[in-house]
Amino acid sequence: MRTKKLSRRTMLKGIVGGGAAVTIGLPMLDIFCNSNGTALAAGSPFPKRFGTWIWGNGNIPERWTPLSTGREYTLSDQLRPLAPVLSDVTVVSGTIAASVAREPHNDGSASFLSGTPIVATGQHTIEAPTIDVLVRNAIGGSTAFGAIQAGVDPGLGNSTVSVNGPGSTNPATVSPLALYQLLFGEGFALPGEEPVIDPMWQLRRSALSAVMEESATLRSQLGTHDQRRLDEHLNGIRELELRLLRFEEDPPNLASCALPPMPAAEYPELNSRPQMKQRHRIIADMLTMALACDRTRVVHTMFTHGGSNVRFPGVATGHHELSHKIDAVSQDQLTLIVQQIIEEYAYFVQALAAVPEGDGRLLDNMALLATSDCSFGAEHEITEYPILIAGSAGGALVTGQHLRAVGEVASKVSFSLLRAVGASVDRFGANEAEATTGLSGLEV
Amino acid sequence: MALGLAGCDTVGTIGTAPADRPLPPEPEPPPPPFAPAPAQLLRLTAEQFDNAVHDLYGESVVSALPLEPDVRIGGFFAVGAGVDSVSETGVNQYEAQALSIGEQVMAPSATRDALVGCTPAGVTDDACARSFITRQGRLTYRRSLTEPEITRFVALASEAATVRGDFYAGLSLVVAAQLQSPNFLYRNELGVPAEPEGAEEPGVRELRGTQLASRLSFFLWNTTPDAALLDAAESGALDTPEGLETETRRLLESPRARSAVRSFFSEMLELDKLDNLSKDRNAFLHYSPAVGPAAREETLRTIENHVFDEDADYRDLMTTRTTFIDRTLAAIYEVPAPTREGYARYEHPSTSPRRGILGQLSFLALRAHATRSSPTLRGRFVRINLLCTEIPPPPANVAVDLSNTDATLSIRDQLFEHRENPVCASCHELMDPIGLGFENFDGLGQHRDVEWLLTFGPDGDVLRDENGDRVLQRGQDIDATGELDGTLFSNPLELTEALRNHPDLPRCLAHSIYRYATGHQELRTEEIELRSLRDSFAASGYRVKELLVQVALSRGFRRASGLRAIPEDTN
Repeated sequence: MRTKKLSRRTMLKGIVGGGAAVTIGLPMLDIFCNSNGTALAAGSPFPKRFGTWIWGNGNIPERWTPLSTGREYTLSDQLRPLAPVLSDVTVVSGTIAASVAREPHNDGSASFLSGTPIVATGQHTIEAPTIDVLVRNAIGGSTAFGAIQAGVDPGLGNSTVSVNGPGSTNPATVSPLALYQLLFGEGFALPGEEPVIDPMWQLRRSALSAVMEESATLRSQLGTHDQRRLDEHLNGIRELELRLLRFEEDPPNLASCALPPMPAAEYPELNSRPQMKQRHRIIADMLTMALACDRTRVVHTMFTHGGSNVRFPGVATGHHELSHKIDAVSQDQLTLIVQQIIEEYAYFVQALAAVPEGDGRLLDNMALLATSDCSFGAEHEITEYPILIAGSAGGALVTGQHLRAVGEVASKVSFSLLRAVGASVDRFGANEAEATTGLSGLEV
Repeated sequence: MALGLAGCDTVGTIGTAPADRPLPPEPEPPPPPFAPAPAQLLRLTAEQFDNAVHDLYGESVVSALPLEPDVRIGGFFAVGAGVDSVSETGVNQYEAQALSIGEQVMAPSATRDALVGCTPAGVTDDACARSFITRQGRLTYRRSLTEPEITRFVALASEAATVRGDFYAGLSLVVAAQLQSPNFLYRNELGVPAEPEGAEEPGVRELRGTQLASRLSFFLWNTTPDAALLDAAESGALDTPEGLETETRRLLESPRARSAVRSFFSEMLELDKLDNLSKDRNAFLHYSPAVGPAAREETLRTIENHVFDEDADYRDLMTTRTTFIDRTLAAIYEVPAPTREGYARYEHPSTSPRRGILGQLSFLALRAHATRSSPTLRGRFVRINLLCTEIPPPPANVAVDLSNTDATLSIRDQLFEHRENPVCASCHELMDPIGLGFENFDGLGQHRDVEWLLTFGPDGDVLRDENGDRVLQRGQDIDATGELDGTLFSNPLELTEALRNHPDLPRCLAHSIYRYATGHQELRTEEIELRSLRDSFAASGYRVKELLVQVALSRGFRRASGLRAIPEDTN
């Protein structure tokens, strides 16, 4: 067992940024690992995890792209906040989120994350599942939650770019407290604790099964359009039944699993600005622990959405409005915003890196992808697509490099990520965004 | 840039030609023969779920947990309700809400005992459970339950009562099961096979009985049918034109119709977005989080009064001097507050520049930026939401920056690029001139004759003098002249008058109500039906209530061409 490993108390201090005092019981932990500490006691390796982290309105490519390629790349102005995690983050630059039909703030994510260029409907729907949903279908099956969607900007409503198919998106939980209750409330037990079995779980499953049975009659009356919609709904019911069953199982014996700090009930605006940093950090801490406790293996974080006009500290104008101004002063201010966003991504990466798992860290068994809805926001560009990847997904990805891939389709990155986290894939996407191979140089 | 040029010259099913071209000549070309849209399930909107729960179980039930979000398509959640599906998170949310309602309803109370209607003989009592399930299930599913459905719920009640040691705790699981069942959450208005009429293809379907009652009730009440309507439906009363009209007019007399009309206009005018209204307090000293909800209430009260109390001409909503405001709004409008508490009627004086719903903050503040007004957003709203003009999103890879804007230029001059660049002009000439006509109102909706601009220091902070007051810079005098499809105007009053007389204004309302009522975007083959709706709307003197009746009686409301299938190319 490595002696350098952070104690959990140190780790938790790191997570809360040294701010609030944290008092958490520390049960014996490492006994749950096998003797060499590289895997769970049962002999299975630590699971792979996957995350997407989305911000809106893109970047300014010439202020974003690192100044050198390869390892130990030289950070650009907008990426400066990556300095503490440089060796864990790969920057992919130069790709294009190809789409012949264009729809600002929608086509880039569709092409990159689902591989299906926008159908020119003006309905803002993405036609095929996004990468997080594909990963969830591949590796999310055995945990309490197949995937979790969280939102940081309270102005999101609950919109995400996590899409199951036509007309079906996965809404985000935006209230930090609601997210806490979802992840660490019902059915949650710390490693070594006996789950307290609630007799309601069995009765709720009976109710759900009655609903499933009577839905069969409704289904038989439907056209194919509605059958597909209802099937989506019934799948969700089946997942809920399974989760209620899993609540009765012993919790997984993951040494670093602990309760994160409880969020406040409200995060009121300060100076007409949402508390983006405070909201994000408490959410990132919770998602980190949800992954460490194996409550879920897939997380989708909407920091802001494309077109978001959130105002950030130190900048008078809303983000979206500013992103469309191309004078030098505005672009300087916009860079201040992008830096604040990237600083939050770096925070999440550090939180994941602070969780020990066997000989390594949670981050090493994970890939956390950060991207936006476009590159140059002023023109909704889809060339030079902004892509950051933290973690090696269990050694499958090359980390800490700047990979310049001019003219490649961005969906090749998605292809690589799917393969890296253990989803079988031989092609991803369609038409101009189709990928049949990964991106050269990204996978080990 | 070819994509961009495809823009606004070529589209618009019912759009209006740009100002430099004449309006399309009347009469219109003959429409194709009538064929209705395919039938589809409509998911209850969050508001309908809430309304139905209160009608089923009483106003005291709290149903405030978040639900699967509604999707706006073609401007309406009512249309998205036929397309969206429920995610895993949505299933969890429905379950949590349904369980909570079940527990609330079955907590000991006289209301509960009346609802159950029998006294259980013990922890389990199948006969008592059955009578409750049969009666309440019919109201919940908007049709009588089948025998297998009843038997299944009786078994669930018995199992749950046994485990929990309480008869009512058992029934609470039944209530929860019904409220999370697709049989409740989706409106089954798929109809039954019917004889084709006129040029309809074989396979046409007709809504009858309880399915028609469901459609009628969600349209005119925005909630589930009551027992009286279900009784009428089961007696066959809705299946004749006379019976349908009688029930339609009865529904419209209920207070629920007022709440449904508010709900329709809230969707059409996107007033839900006022919940997220946020303004920079440096720019707008009068802004507070109370403004958004107050602005919505003002507009909805104005509409409710106009439609129900006055039964007035719809077009006059653009020019009415009547409004309903509270103290928050009175302060912003710089008029005396008509009441200390809540909202009260207020008549703007004839000299006021503020008229109609476009003189209200629900339009002026919502259709603006956080720090300043936006002629484009205002013009876009008038075109899309009020006139049903189709305007595509701006083409990508075009800088939508008004480049090198000199802050001392008037917004009219800043928008110069929109007119000069042909890629932009084809759409912006539809929007910007209208919005410029409202420039006498700033980004919060306060009246102004001159634009005053904030000044900023090098750190981006607003410059203030030694007293902490903002340092403002005098901008240009406001020039609010323009032209709306051939009618010149020189101020907001003349603009709202021109809009009131625009032929697309009532036309757009007729189409929007039809779209909302039927849950789909109108088809070419429905044009003949839409035309007769427009004609009858005009003949009624543009009375909204009469339009609602005519939509309910229209063929498109109660007929469907088969069941909606997945299109071949995406299958």
